[in-house]
Formats: sequence, structure tokens, C-alpha cells
Amino acid sequence: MKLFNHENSLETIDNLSQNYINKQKHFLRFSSAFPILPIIVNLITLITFLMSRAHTEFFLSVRFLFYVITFSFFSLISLISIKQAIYLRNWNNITQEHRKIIKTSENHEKIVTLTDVFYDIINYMNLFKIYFIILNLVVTIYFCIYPFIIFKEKPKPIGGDIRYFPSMYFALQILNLISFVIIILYMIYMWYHFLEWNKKLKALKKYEEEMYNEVKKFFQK
Amino acid sequence: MSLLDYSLIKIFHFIPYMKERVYRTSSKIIENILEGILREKNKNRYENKGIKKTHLIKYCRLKSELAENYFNSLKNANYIKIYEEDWGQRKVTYIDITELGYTRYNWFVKINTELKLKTKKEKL
Repeated sequence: MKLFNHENSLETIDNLSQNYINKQKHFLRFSSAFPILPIIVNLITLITFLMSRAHTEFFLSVRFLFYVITFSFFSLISLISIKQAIYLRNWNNITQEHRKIIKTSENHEKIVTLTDVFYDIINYMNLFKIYFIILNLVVTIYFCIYPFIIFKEKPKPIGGDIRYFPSMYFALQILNLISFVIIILYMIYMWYHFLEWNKKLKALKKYEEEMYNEVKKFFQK
Repeated sequence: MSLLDYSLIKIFHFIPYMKERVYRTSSKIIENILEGILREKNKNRYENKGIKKTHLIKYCRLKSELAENYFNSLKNANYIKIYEEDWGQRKVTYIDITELGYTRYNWFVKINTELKLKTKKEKL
């Protein structure tokens, strides 16, 4: 069974892998930049809350709990975004090292193979799975309380007593709603990639098992 | 020195050690071996030879004893073939990839590049 032509097979493999690497870099870049607006909006609302005089009583109210959850949710998203950006930077260095090896036939001190590049992102995928499960737990709680904030508590952004500035209050409300929509889109985007990555990890596991079964009987201990 | 300082020093002492020694799974090593052979074959495609054993050991960053173990098991599993050639009075060991090894490496690339994984006829 031949998946690639024998002639120029390695060029095909390199081109395919380069396309894939670019695709993954695009995802990492986009997913780390996606939630910037909601994070900024929530930071503004937090600042307005801290600047308002009403926050001392507010700490004792039940609504404060909602805002703690909201804030922890956005902190988690920020952390994940930063983590994605850091990983992108590291992976970029690895892929560039690998490209140098492909392009030049000189002897390199540090050999980075395509397998290394692939396994690096596979390890990250496994780590990302854990982050994503935690994110989903928090997002579920956040989505459960959000309608309650809107319908029961009046859609007030984190920012206690700013009713004296109606235009600012309205602007913050609109921004909070927009950020909520962006968060939903962000979660859909992340879920799509999570499922893709999960499918790949499962296939890889199956492949590794098969290969291991073929080779393990010949291993000498 | 407090206990916290001591533990922090210990942790930072071990970080470089941990970075240098990264555990590699056997499947990663096998894929590295197959890739090394393919890359060398691609460089000297008109000679139709494999890769010298010593070059492959360097490419895969393995200790010779462990590499030997891997090469033997891959040879027995029919992923690679090992042969010797005369080089003056010496003998040089070459390692080449087989059709099965080539197919396995292609599958690995196919999975990693997230191409369509299964069709009705082809099964992993």
C-alpha cells in the first residue's frame, strides 16, 4: 500500500508536514489572540468596580460570588492564551531548527528531526487536554450563572455603582455582551480543535500499539 | 537557611538535569530511525543505498548498545534490512528501509499531518 509516490516521497512528506506546521501555528496564534477583547473588557469592568465606592458592601453580597467565578474564568482563559503563546514561541524555534537541517546538508550540532517536531506538539496536545477539561468545568459554571446575572440581577457589569454615568454603564453592558458572544465563538473554535486533536491522538495511539506489537517480540532484554 | 530556601535550591538544581534528559518513547525512537534512513536515501538517491550504521546512531542520538537492540528488533520485524559492504579491508554496515518500514513511516506522517485517517479499503 503506497500513500505517497516513491519518487520525491520525502519532498512530499516535508511539504505536507510544512503545511501542517503552518496550520498549527495559525491555530496557536489565533487561539491566543482570540479572547483578548473579552479579557480587556473584563479588566475594565473590574477596574470600574474597584474604583466605585459601593464595593465594600458588595463583597458581602451573593452577587460577588458570581463575579469571582467570572473573574476566575477570564483569568483561566488569559493563562491558557499566555501558555499557547509561549508554546508557539518554543515550537517555532524547534521548527526553524528543523527547517535549517532540511535546507542545508551541513553537519548540525543539534539534530531536530521531523519526528521530534511532531512529538513535541503531541506532548503539548496531551497537556492541552487537561487545561481544556478544567476550562470546560469553569465555563459550564460561568454559562450557568450568566443568565441569572442578566435576568435576575439586572445586567450590571462588574463595577458596582456607576449608575451615575449612564452612557458608561450602557457601553460596559454592550461590551460585556459582545465579550460573551466572543467567548461562545472562542469555545466553539476550541472545541473543534480539541475534537480534531483528540481524533489524531486516538489514531496515533492505535498506530503505536500496532507497531509496538509488531516490534516488541523481538526486543532483547 | 530555611526549609523553603533549601527546597527551592534543590528544585532549581534539578531543572537543567531534567531538561537534558528527556524520556523518549520507543515509538519515537523507531520513527526517528526510519526517518534517518529516508533522509539519507533522499540525499544519495542515485546510489540507492541505505545509511551507514554509525551515521544513523548519531542521527537518532542513541547509545550504541541500545541502538543495536533497536536495529535488531526492527530487522526481525522486517522494518529495515542490514547489510555489509566492503570498503578496502574494512566492512561498512549499511541499513536500508523495507517496504513495510516505509509504509509505517508514511502512516505516521499521515496521522500527524491529520490527513483523512481512514477510508473503507484502507485500515490502519
